[in-house]
Amino acid sequence: MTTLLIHLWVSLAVAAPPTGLTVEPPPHNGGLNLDLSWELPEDDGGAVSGYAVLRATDEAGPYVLVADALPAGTHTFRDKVTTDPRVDPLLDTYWYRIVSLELGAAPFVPADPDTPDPEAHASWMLSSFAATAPVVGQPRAVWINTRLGWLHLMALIGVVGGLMLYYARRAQQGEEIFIRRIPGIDAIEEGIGRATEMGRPVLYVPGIDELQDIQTIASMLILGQVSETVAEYQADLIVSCCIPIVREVADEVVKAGFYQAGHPDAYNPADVRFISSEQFAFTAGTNGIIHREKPATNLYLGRFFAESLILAETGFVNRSIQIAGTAEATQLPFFVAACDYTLIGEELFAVSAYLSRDPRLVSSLKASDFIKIYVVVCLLLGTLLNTLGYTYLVQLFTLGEGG
Amino acid sequence: MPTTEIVGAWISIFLTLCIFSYLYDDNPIYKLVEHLFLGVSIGYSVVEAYFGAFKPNVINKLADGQLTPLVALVLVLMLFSKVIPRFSYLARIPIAFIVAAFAGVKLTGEANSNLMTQVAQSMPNLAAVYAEHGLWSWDADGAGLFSSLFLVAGLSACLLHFYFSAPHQRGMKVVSRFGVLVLMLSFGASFGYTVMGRISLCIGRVQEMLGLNRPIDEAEIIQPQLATLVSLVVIVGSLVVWRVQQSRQRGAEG
Repeated sequence: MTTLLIHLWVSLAVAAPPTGLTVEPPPHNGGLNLDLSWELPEDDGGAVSGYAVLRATDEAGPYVLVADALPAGTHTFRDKVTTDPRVDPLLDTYWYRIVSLELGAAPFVPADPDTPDPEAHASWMLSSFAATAPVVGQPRAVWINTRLGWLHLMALIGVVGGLMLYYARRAQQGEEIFIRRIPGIDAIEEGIGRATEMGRPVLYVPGIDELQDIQTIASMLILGQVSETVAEYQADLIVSCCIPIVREVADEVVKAGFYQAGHPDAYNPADVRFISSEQFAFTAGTNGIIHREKPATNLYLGRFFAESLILAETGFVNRSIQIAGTAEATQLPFFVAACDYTLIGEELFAVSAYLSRDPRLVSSLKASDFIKIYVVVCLLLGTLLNTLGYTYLVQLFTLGEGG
Repeated sequence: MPTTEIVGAWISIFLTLCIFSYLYDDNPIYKLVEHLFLGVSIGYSVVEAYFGAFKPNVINKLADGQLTPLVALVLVLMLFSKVIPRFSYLARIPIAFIVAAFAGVKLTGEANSNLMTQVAQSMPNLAAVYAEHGLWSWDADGAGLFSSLFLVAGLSACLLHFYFSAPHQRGMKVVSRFGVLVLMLSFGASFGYTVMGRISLCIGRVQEMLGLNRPIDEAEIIQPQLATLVSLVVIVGSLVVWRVQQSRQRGAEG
């Protein structure tokens, strides 16, 4: 009898739903999220083992499950209402209900175990457990993120832009702007000279990343200078590309370089080659060029990954002079070990300004130097202040959420 | 087990050893496999680009009556204008579009991950670190006051090494040297770590060739050790023939 009563009590007991559900758009947000918060019921952690979040585009439903089995004690949830507004357009309002999941309740059994059905799951939850009344929320986009870190970043970008204009103007007025000597960059011209003397080509590899990567862009600027020098020396240049669009840009850059040097006739589009967009097929093809065409100088400037050591090692066996430059920290050790000169990180971005002395490029170098000094001062001061318990500078560099 | 899987395993072992033949010299077998690899990869990437990007994003959407993909299609066609010298300048427009669009999109992301977050994480509370770990804690992977001070000093010195507006003389030379030392220490650690990763890749290939990474019943059907032996015999035999022919050719010429 007692057992029967207990069974009856358990089957009738419905865990209480949360109360005070609010749905608000988060501050400093791009408008794709809604923040939910609720007050925990008394039996949280006891009869209530957790919570589920249901969402609908209409108050009456149908609801779909957006979060399953949030653990007991959870009283907030951030819902991303759409991951891609182009595919799933953003609506004006969304309705939410929070379900209290009961301890020991039988799990939901979908009709087809291989196909998740969030709507059927939500419907089952609403019929099986207690839920809050529907509450509506409106996503709201904030155009300017007013967090301290973001304002700081915007100010830094503005200052860098202003400094670039300032230094470019000074350089255009004929003022000599100092840049310290960088031996690795000086070696590029020596390498081209060596190739000319030996009657062998210069091989240029602009990394294996897409054109939009900043290192590839820097590499294209350097290629312009290199092709101009190669044309002046009347040497041969081979450019080995892994990405088709990089090959197209490299082709334009090399052509411009040869025109700039006054030797447009020496430009041969067949020397700017697309090998393969598959990493190791590209590596095998470039190794083949090194072995068969025996370049006297190999320039690896751009973004590299696991192929870096294979290329540099082949060039070493071929007794080429090798100059590498990348900002990819994991590949730098291999270039340092196998190449004659290595341009480390920031030096790669300085090459084009250093070689061309173009006011626009030199100004960007000077502006980035300003940022370095600013960061060093902030680091030292920030550590001191943080140790003393003042976290202003740490907060100044903390961006938090974005869009 | 399907025959294709057995043949595939044998081909995989043979091609692996063909690539390894590069250790001897740049030989015809290596060249054959290199060109095979290049051809297959290009064919694969063309098919992948068509079915993975072009068909779902352009063809299917145009078929559904959406007109937005036309913009992308026009940009793609502009890229092909390079084949007509008179209109080749049009190819610069999509390239400029790609670079400019990604430069804008990446600006905040790069600044966040490579500047702001790194700086914010590099201002430790030295008093709190000392209270938690002391000078150095072996239990917490070397965390402690020494590591935190080294982080701040090393990072500052590395940044100053890349300062191009002043010559590396006197005080700046000392700071720059320290920065280079820190860089080389990190490169050394990274080198060792990556080499270990490469060795494990090599071990993986050797296990494949010896059949050690397959269940025993599967290895008995495929016979990877026999495949390795046969491949070795074929490759070494071919290399010997090639070398003999080369010697004869040189002898005839000289």
